[in-house]
Amino acid sequence: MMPISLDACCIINICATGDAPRILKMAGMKFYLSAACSKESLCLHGRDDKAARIRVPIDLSPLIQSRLIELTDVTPGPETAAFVDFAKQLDDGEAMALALAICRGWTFASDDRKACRIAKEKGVPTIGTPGLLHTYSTSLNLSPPDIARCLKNIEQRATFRPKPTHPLGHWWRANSNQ
Amino acid sequence: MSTQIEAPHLVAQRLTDARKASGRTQEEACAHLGMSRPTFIAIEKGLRTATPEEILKLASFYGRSVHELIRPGAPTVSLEPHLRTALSAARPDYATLQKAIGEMQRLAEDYAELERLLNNKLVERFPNEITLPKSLSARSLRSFAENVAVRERARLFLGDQPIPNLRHMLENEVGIRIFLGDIPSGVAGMYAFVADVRYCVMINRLHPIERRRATLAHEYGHFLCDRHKPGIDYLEEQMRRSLNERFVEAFAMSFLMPETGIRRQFHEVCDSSGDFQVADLCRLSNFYCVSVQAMALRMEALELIPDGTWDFLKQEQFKVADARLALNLERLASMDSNEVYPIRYKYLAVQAYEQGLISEGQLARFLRCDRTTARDIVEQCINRYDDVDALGKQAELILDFQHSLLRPVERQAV
Repeated sequence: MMPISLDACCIINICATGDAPRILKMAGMKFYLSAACSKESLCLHGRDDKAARIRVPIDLSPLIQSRLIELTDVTPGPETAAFVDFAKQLDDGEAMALALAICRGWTFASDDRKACRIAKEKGVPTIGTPGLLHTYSTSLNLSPPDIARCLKNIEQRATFRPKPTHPLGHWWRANSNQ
Repeated sequence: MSTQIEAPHLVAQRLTDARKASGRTQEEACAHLGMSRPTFIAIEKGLRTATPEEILKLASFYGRSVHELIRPGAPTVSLEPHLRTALSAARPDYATLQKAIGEMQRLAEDYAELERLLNNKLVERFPNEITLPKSLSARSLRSFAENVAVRERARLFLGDQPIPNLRHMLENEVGIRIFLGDIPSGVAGMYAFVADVRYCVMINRLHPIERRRATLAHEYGHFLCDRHKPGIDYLEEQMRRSLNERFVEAFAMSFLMPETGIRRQFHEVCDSSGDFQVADLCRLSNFYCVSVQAMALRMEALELIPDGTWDFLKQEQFKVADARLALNLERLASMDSNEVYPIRYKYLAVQAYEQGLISEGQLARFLRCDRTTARDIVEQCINRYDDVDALGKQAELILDFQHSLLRPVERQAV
């Protein structure tokens, strides 16, 4: 099992797909969410009864209760030291997710340019939402309409789209426009 | 990995500020950490470096993020001590006001941080400070304030037209940092001048736009005559107002409603209709983006309408909101941003994020919102719909913030 430390930006995107349980059940991956990320107020865009745009808070408890995501905190000692060290440059959620990844030898899942740059400097393997979705679509051999729905949901509900220069940027655009 | 806390004095100052802002005592904080008071005092003085575990515990105890306490860059802004001197502990809204001062301090620090990251200083075009002649009668004071307002309008090339974008103009043309905050309703605004971020103003976000504009013009008056003296402006009438306060009040009215402009508008209405009615008063107040009361009192002072007109309207229970509706008056003052921070602040935050200088979590903290809303703000800032194409469809202009406009334009072969 590849353990993955999820940054808040990735969990928002995964929840936006509408397929979060299936994505998090991906074979060969185990997802962890840091205490700092879980304390952030995470929201998606939704529509109310009159089709007006509203903010919908993300409820992670079903994913946690079904053990698709495991909540974890830094332990005293090197993990706390690493967290505080990263928190000089990053917000708490990103810093704790990265500290857990580096101290426990996990993969760091984030779409944030600054956090990924620091992770790479420290030799931490990284993956982002496009990478997770690409793995998800290929491992389950998703139909083009299914993957298009997931990607469009992320774009509309989480206002996220990888930059055209992202290695999977072309794949994303080609598949979201199906 | 470096576990060393850099600049312990800097962290010490932030820890002390955060403890005070949270209303915690040193005794409570050292009890929470399970350490002696002398050891805790040594941490707050920067003589002993706090361990990562202690920082974690204190951040949670003070309701702050760890990042806020240990981020790089000096906590250069010292607005809080300045404003606390102007704060009366006897007020019932003391605690809320203290909180608002804390938020003003944090916004000013964040603004300074963004400017530091992008090496982009706010341009200042400060006018000279004014010294008020000590022996001025009420009439001479009004005339003095009128002259200052005319000079300021001329300096800023404003003519005698309304200033629909007062906040934007004062931020960009003068170099004042203007924030909106959740201040107790009895307080209009507050201001302070400190070396690091210069003149900062916080206006009550809960007040109507016309009131906010009047407060802003008032605080600008303080900038002209009380620049280095911090102050909090309460709404309640004071029995004996200082000379400076009376000048500032008169200046604000003259600055927002220039005499020549008001007189011209008044005479044009009278010439065309042979009268000046309540509806005209409402239209004129709307045109200048001020309250009906402010316009009525200004016109009384200019002797265009009889003294006591506003009192009469009040007595007759004149309803401004109903009048606006009946006259179909849309609020013109909406050109000014209602956001907590200035537009420039928002663009700096987005630019820093686009350049990878701050993370998404930091961006959300700078913009005082959740991450998804922060993403929306980035998208709005970089995908502007500025024009229509040849077919009349809205043209999407994707702005690359990092593209230099000083380099020669490379034309692509068609």
